Amino acid sequence: MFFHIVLERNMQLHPRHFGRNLRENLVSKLMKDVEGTCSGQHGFVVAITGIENIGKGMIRDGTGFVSFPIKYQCVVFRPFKGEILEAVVTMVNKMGFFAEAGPVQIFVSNHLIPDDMEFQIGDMPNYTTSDGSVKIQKDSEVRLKIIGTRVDATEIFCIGTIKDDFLGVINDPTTA
Amino acid sequence: MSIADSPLHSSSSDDFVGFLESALDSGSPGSSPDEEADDDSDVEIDSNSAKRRKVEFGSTEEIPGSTSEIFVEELSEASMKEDICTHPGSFGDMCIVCGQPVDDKSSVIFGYIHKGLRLNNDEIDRLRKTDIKKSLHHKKLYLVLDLDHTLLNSTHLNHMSAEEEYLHSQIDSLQDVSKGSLFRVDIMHMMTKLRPFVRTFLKEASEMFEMYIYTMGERAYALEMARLLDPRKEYFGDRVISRDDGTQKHQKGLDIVLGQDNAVVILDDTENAWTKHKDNLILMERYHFFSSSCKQFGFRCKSLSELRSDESEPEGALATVLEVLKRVHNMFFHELEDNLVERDVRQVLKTVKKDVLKGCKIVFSHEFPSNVDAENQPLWKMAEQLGASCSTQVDPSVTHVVSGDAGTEKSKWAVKEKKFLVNKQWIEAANYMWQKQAEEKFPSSEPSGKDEGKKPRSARKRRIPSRSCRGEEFEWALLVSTLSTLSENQVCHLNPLMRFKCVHESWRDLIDSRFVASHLSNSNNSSSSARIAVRHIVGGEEVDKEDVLGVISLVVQYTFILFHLFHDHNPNLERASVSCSFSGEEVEEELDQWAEEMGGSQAKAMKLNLHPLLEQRMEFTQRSAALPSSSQTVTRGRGQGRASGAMATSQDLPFRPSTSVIAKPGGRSKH
Repeated sequence: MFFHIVLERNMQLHPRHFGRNLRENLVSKLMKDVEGTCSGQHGFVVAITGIENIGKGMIRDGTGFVSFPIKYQCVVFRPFKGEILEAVVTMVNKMGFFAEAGPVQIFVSNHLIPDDMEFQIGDMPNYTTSDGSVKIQKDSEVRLKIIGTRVDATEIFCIGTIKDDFLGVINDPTTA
Repeated sequence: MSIADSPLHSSSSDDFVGFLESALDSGSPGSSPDEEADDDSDVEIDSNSAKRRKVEFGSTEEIPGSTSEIFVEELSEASMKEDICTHPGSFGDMCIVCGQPVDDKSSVIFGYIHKGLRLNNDEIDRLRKTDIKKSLHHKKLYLVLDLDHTLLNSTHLNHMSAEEEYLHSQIDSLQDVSKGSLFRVDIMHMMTKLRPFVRTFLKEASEMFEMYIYTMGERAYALEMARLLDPRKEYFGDRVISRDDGTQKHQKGLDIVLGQDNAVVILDDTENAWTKHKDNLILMERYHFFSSSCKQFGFRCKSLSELRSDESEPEGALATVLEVLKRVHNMFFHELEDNLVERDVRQVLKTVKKDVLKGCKIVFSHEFPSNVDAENQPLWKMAEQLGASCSTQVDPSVTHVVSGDAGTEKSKWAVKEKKFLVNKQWIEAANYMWQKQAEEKFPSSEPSGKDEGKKPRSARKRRIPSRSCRGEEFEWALLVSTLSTLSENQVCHLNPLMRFKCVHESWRDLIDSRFVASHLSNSNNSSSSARIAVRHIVGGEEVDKEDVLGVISLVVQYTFILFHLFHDHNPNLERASVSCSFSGEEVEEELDQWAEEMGGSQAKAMKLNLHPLLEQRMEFTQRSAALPSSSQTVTRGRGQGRASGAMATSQDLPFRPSTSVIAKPGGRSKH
């Protein structure tokens, strides 16, 4: 799920950046530092959309660096247990399949793939129903339900299932 | 979202996240029992029938344990699912079935498939069982392939010799990988040569096997090589296992291969890597294309690259082994009577192997020391595995006499009785080729003489390096191959040059080279001349001519030491005579000089010891060598300085009878 929230962060800035462009420097450094990172609470920071407020700088003793408290608006992405998500399949093997939704890695084990879908070996390994009408292979888009999440410093792992109503392939790359 | 505007933003958004999470959480699996129950009753009918179909389809006893348990529970009480989950595996420390955090350190890591994926043993068994049925249905077995020396040969760009420079102009483009066979992989600083026939091999093998790559190389290297071998990812897919993925250090194991042991065939050039799965292994003849690879295994002969030749495509090792694989595959699926699932490819391998020398009765002559049990010798065992019967005594039923020497009694008997008289390479070649070899190609006599001039095709010939390697050198390769039977501890008894030499050649595994480096840097002048000597001997680099005499003195010294080592530990090697390049007189001269300089009792003893040795056992070749021509010009003073410097190091030589502690016969039995 995406959120547009306001976060706060203390930015340390080297004195050489002081001057007319101080604000720009501060913002670009903030973007570099924050975008693409993960936190357990807020999830993956997708993009900074605006700066709310830059507080008064404080000179750090001994280093000359100045720390500014910055409040910024950003879009974050965080998967939740129970959430329905659409993802692209990246790898299919006998254990199940792996899918990605942006930075999120999702694994759907073959325990959680409907039982009528069988694994097929071949150049393009896939899970197919017995009548061949539904096929999950690399680059398929699937709708799945998250049943577990774990957030690392840079990655988010999820366990998903498609063993439920209205879940499964939503777009087959071969027909598209 | 409007929260952003609210003055309480930051904290309130946190609350909101928390709220959402709890709401969604409770709204998920277990939340609405009614709804789930409804769902279940529907699902139950459907899936029940589906299940039953499934159960009938596979033989019923097949799926006990975790799956069926989960299954039954699922059907009866879906809400209980989470509580009874057996956590068959984890992804990012979450159970792959219920999503609960798990902390299971006992499970096997499958990092080569995806980062963070682990499976426990029950799940692996289950996967293997379901998979094998599918594979057998498609008439496929599993094949685990090693990379280096089996499918290809790589060398670091820095390790290429001058004679190999021409290869740089012959590299194939990385754009169209599927056509070329020689590549420069710049990111890894490597030059890689694919073994001839490998493309056909992979193509044909892929029809009979599901293939894995399993290498002791790094992950990045393994992936890069897989890309060269299989640019379209049709053979290996994600089944590329590297050193980082193994569960045991310096060992390869089938535990992370998702194939049942009884259907896996392994192709590898290193038997020791597969101690637990020797029965699955087809041992490959090593492919040495680059000179660095030859050096690494102690062969001083020219590499294929230096000779500008290559393994033959239609008769090379891969073509041979492909035939074996076809035979094994055919026998597994078409000739065995019993139930498909119970068949064991290991038995098939044994059976196929037993056909190779079927009907041969072999007598060994002078192949094993008399004080050991002949039945336990590797060669004896090998012959038996190949289906031959072995005996220690000659009798009319004997068909082959194996002897390295045509002069022994049994050999003479063989000639008289018109039996085949072969050297042991005949057996070893059959072991590699999985085919009885023409006896005429392996006559017994002086084996080393026979090797000369032949191109290094048979692994056998490459293992015992030919004497002709380089005229101006010792048979370092031979020395090293013998020395490699010593343990690390024993190595420390050797003096620095020897140690350095060993390291430089092929002992990287055995000895810590840092140790040697530190030793060299700590010692005084003598070591620097020693280093030059080593350089010269090893690489033929330009040496300051004035150092030559010093070098000679060192070389003589080491010949001597080595000879002692050999003699003490391996009487068999007597015949293998260490040959030295410069003429006898020069050595004599050197020795006299030493004796003069040292004057002490040690020197006399040394000289006394040395002389008979020189006379009796050392063969000095009279060949004109690269070294001596200049030795005349050396000023006496300098030469003396060097020599005495060299003697300083001799103080800590293991030049005492006590070296016999190192005794460890076996250098010969290795081959």
